[in-house]
Amino acid sequence: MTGPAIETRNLSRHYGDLTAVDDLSLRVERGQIFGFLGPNGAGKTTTIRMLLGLIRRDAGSIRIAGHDLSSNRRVALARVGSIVETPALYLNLTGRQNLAVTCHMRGIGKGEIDRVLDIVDLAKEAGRKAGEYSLGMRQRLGIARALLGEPELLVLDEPTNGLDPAGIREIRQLIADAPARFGTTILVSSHMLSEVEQMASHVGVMNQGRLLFQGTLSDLIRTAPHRLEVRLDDPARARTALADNWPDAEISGAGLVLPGVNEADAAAINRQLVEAGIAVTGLTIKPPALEDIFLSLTGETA
Amino acid sequence: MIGVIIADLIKLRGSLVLLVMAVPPVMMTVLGVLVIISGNSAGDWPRTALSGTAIWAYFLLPMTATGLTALLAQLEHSTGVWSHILATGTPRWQIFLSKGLIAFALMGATSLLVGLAIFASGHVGGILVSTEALEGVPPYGQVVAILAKMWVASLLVTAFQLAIALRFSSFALPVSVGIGGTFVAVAATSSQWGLVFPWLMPVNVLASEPERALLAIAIGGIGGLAALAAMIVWLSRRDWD
Ligand SMILES: Nc1ncnc2c1ncn2[C@@H]1O[C@H](COP(=O)(O)OP(=O)(O)OP(=O)(O)O)[C@@H](O)[C@H]1O
Ligand SMILES: [Mg+2]
Repeated sequence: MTGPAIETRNLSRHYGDLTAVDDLSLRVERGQIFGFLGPNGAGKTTTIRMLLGLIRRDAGSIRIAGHDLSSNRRVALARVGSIVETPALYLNLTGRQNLAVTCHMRGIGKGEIDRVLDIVDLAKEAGRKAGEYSLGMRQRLGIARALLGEPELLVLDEPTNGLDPAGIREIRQLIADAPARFGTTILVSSHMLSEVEQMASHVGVMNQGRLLFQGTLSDLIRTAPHRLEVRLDDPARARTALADNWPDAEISGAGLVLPGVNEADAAAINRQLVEAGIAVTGLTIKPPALEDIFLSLTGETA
Repeated sequence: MIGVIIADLIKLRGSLVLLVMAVPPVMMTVLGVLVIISGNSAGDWPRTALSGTAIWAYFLLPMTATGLTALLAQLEHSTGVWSHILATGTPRWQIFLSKGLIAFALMGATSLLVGLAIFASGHVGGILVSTEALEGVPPYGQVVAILAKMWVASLLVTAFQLAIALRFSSFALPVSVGIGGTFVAVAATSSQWGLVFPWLMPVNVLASEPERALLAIAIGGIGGLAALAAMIVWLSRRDWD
């Protein structure tokens, strides 16, 4: 089938007066690791629930791998593996039995069980009851279950929720390797940009139900305002000289820091300082910290 | 569809569902033996066996239907796995139909165990205290037929309890409804309402008027299948989150 892995058009969902998802048009191409970002309550889980056909939508359309979710739900979801919010397991069953349940439901051969257990490194623990698993093991079993049947698309809702740093790194590595190893596309949600920046090729940023940005990480950085650091001999005098055009300039050690600056601005600032007779020893344009971009996009204060 | 049913059967492993199924036959065996050896039985096989089926129909059957369906639903609710199984793309009607078929089958299996318990208690009681041994011939065929009719008549209450248990994540709600229904049933036995009260259908199988017994089987059986169909439609249409 042709078409992007995920394509939504003008997707909306209300809960009473609240608009949980507002006119969302999302596009995830095949082979991408798409970081789906937003603060708590942004509407990530609601979007994911609609993508998986768990809840109705009030407006809009969803296509998964080119299949319309309304008219072709079974085919659309046949090659999708998912974890929604928590890796919900049958705690009375062993890890292996949990995977067997899903194999039977999806008509997948039992041979898959050993393959996915190896991927998440749970083969030794597979005979233990899931109720005895640690949170990290449950999360890994959830991922193993999502990987059954070699899905074309993985939808993971906050898969590192509640894990320790080692566990987070492990899951992150698994996700980062997945497109190359299994040819899957991945949509992974998170409320922290720093968590997905090492693995995501593309990101979408949501807040209050709206999609504020979607594109590559470098696009996100490029479009965000940069910061200019100027090293010079007399910061106080320099600040006065720039006060008319750049009132935001701040003294920082032996220099000035100017927020919200692009390259053209930098040249103008340099010229102005030299004209004022101030010796500039260095000019650096610094990209903003990713977390700051995220916070300024979503309007939250750090 | 077969895959869905097999998956549902795997989930029963190590769960309390099987324990709930064991309670009625064990209780009836112990109770039956005690009644006989204490000299309080009706004295003969037919009447003693029949009173056994009455205890099942009045009290243990509706309570078993309640507990069994509630636990069956809790397997999914307690771990919040609805999202997972519904996101597999498996048609929803198959998922809910499988639950219904399993609930019906487990009620049937429990009925069989209850039949065994009725005869086991009669024989064991007679062996323990030979002077109190039941007279006459054990009415095997009759009891099996009655239990089978009761099972058919119980489909309605089973489907109803299952629907509530699946729809609401609470465990207490379906259990309260089931206990309430069972007690109201006792009061409603002789009233007009008793003819259509779901929890009473199995009891009505024992009615002396054959029409009333037949009506119970018809309402319980056909109503049970209709209720299951309605449940499937109802649950398939709602949001699951
Ligand atoms: N079943 C529901 N009933 C009412 N409101 C809901 C329901 N589900 C979600 N919401 C609301 O919709 C909004 C979006 O919630 P959602 O769970 O999609 O956010 P999220 O981005 O996943 O947040 P988090 O990072 O906390 O998981 C929230 O305001 C939430 O309160
Ligand atoms: Mg969420």
